[in-house]
Amino acid sequence: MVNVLKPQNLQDALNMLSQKRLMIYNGGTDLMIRYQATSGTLPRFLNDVLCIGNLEELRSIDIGPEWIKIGSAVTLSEILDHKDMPEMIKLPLREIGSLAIRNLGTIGGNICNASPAGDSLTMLYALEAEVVIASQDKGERRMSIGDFILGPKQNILHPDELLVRIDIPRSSMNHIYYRKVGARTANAISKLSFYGAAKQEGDILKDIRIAFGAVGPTVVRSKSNESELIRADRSERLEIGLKVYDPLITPIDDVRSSKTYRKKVALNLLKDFLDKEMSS
Amino acid sequence: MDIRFTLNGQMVTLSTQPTRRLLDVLRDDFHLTAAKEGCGEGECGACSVLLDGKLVNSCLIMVTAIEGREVLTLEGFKETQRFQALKQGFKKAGSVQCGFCTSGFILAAEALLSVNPHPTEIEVRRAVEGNLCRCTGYSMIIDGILEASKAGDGLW
Repeated sequence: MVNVLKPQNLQDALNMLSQKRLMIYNGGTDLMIRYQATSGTLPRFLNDVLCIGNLEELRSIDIGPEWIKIGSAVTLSEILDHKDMPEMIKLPLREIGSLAIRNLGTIGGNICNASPAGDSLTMLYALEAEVVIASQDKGERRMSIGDFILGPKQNILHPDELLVRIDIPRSSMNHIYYRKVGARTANAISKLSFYGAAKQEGDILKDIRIAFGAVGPTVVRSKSNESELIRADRSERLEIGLKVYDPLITPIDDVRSSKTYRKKVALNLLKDFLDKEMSS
Repeated sequence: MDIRFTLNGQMVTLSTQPTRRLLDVLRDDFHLTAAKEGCGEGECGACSVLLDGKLVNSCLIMVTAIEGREVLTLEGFKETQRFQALKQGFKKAGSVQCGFCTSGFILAAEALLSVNPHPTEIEVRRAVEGNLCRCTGYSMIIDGILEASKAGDGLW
């Protein structure tokens, strides 16, 4: 029979994790589906379960002058309801699941699932988020979100490690754009998604971030393309943008959508962002 | 494992396997059958309950995770005047056909109106986006909620 472990604090949790392999229960909204068995029977967890959703150390939101730090057990609703949370962070999170899912699901869970279609991920890549990982033996280590996610549904965590916090550097942007394309407006896994943010002053582009979701094994972002857009003349930006992003968008056919559709719509969204959004 | 929580205003203690779903515990142990299993995947909202006042899908919650927390099911909500307003609104608008989804929609409506007492139609639609109905085509349910928010002015 599967045991459920309820650590008193993070240290306790890391100690338990250092001793044996455990299933991590944070919000539970993905875990309970992935391991569900016949209706009314117990979930078929592979190992004992470690409940981290209540751990105080993972539940804080700290909005500072340079960084926004969010604990990995903070729910999506808590982020959306926070009065000082910048809109550029909230925008994609609003599109996840439904209210009932967002009230339980956590930012940490969305990241650790590392789905190519993960809705928080385009934003986190674009805003250069860093993740903080902890274990009993190695203490804390820190890395960029791009280094944390290794491939579809694969993250870098060792079995004795937990994602404890997400740190997002503050940036000032005056254009924020997010589109999620899915079969319906809620409870839909993205066919593709696009996150764009830019700081534009008159004709000068001071900063631009572009990230595509679900059109490759991980989020597609290119700093060199972004630099090229910044260097370009305003009138050339669209043409250059479409040219340089085209080879980077390599979707597949799957149950949700086709590669042709994904590619076409991804470039349409880029165009909408560079053309319409940035000229308003 | 012993799990202590508040259910419809009363402190209860349950001895059961900790990985059981809250939905099954409510229906099988407490015989509170308003919450129903429509999909078992958190997509349909038929299993909705309020956990510490927040709308959640009880099919996705391990019962051990509600230790020390407050669960409100439709059976508890039925005792309130707010419920009466929703009931009248649903009656007037013809919001109920087979009734399977109704418990979930009522609790989603309560979750909305308790933070937004006078929602627009779009806001109502957004608030019930996690609830599915196979019978009504949704319009009558949306109307029922809007009717309740107007006629029940002051309750929320």
